[in-house]
Amino acid sequence: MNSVSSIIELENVAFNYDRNAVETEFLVNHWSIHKGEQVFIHGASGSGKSTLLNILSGLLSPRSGKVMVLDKRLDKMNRKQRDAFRAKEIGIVFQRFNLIPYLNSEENIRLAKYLSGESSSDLSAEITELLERLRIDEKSRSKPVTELSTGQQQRIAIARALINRPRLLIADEPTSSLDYANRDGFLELLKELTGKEEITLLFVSHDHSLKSHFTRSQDISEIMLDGAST
Amino acid sequence: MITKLAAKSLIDRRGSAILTCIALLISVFVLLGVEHIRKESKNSFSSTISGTDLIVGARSGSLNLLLYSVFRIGSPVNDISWNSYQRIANDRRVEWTIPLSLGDSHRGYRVLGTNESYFQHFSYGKDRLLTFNNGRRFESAFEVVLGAQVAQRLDYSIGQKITLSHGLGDANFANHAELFQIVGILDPTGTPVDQTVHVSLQGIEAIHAGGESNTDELIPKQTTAVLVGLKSKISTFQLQREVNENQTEALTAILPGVALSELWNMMSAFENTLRLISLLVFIAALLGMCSMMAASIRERSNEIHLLRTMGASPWFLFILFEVEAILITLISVAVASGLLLLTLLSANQFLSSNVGLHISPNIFTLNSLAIVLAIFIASIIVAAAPAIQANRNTEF
Repeated sequence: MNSVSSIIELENVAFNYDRNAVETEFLVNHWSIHKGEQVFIHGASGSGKSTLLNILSGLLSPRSGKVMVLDKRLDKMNRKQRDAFRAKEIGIVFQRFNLIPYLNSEENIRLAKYLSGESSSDLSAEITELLERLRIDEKSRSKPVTELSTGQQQRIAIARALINRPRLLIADEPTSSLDYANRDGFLELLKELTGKEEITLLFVSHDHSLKSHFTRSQDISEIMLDGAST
Repeated sequence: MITKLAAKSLIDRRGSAILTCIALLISVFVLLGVEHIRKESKNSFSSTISGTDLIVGARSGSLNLLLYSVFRIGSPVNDISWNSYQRIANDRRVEWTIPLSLGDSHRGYRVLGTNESYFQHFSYGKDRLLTFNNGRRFESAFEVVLGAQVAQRLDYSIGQKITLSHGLGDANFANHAELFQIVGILDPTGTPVDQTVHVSLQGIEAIHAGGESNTDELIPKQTTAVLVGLKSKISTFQLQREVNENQTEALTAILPGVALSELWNMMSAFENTLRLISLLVFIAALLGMCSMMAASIRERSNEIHLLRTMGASPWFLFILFEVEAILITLISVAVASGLLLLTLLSANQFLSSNVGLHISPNIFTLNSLAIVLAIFIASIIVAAAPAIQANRNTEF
């Protein structure tokens, strides 16, 4: 694969939760994603997908190997640099607990901007635009997030993840707490927003039926098997 | 932003936050209160009298003599005869004397019989003499000079006539009562002088004689205590020994400074106990805050993880938890100071009229500032443990 257009590139990545372990728990030999791709990764819980996502977002540092994300070598960064990189360049949406419960919607989005360390001349207008595109009405903007429906909460989570204009969006089971009707709408919205902004989307779920929405799909075991077999 | 986040998070967990605040508040209140009262009472005690070299009274303990002659607390064991007074007053080493005749009262305030030398020589604080807010010294037997507080509380003014009764009861009417005219009101001093009704020695005799009496016949037969000022400090101990060894009458002479510090030392054990208790209460409250935060970190693990994925550094989380602790401390200290101020303001009257303690309600001294600073440092240190714990949960 062409490394120039790769947005993610993992090579010989090994990781252990236990620093003193002899056997490697997690291993990827080679795996890459191109810029603007919308990738579906299938994996059940305990399959190593959380480890993969945490390594990609810089929350975990591998024991060895090369982790290239957005042309940056995460494995060469210290923790502080990885924190700053994650805040600026990567948006993350989880299944649950995407928002600080005691802040309202707007404050959650503002917090994400604050943590990125970047300032905006007109953050209010940016938030308004983003919320409009996510079909969130003006009223919900100042409501405590606990008063919003799960669907609304997940959409606010996207806004929170996108406010810093990341180049990579990692979605970790974001639809699992939504009902069927909301799920497809949410997925389409996610694809629409990331597609327009040329944001690379990494979508992880245990739900096979979502595969059809994506241009590329892979099983987590393939990524790891790929490494293990070569 | 971080302060806002901390504040909102505390509001979200207001139940436990308020309880922690109350525990801390009480401890800060006790800590500041004890320190303040300790300092103020020491000040108040040591500034009650100055310039006096010896206090002479009937044979008794030095503390007792000090308490009744200076603080108007308790009762004298006995009077001293006018002859003994004269002998001391006429001693060549003595520059001045102030006779103090106690034992009567006016509506709960002690009546002090003395002479004009009281206004000339009695000093308090840093050698401050008594000054008149209004009026003049008494010049005849039935004239009276009021301490500032007496005049204020009882709403008396110059020219008014009041009755003075025999004994210490808080009686408005009495069989042995004489009409006295108010001729002077003193400036406030912050000493027991403020709560004293001053009359001449003849006035005291008039109260005791009762009924119709000729002013000319009112010659004092005894007095309660004598404040003595010497020409030279060198003769202090000599005169003290002579008075104590007096064969004709059993007398005691004390050095006010020595007696004051004796009194103070007597209270220091009590005072240290109070300090220790308030310190322990404070430590308990700090540990309470620490455990509250440690518990909250467990229930906030999702929030901490979210903040980390949003790019918050461990340092940010550490500061966030510290700011929460500082906010709790800030609220506690602010409310505690306010409460203490209110308490002192309302207890001031009670303390000064019942215990003779003058406690300034001004708690914002350098000393209390240092305590507040220590409180903040202590809470920052204590909060560091859970704040570090918060980060450990997100690290691998």
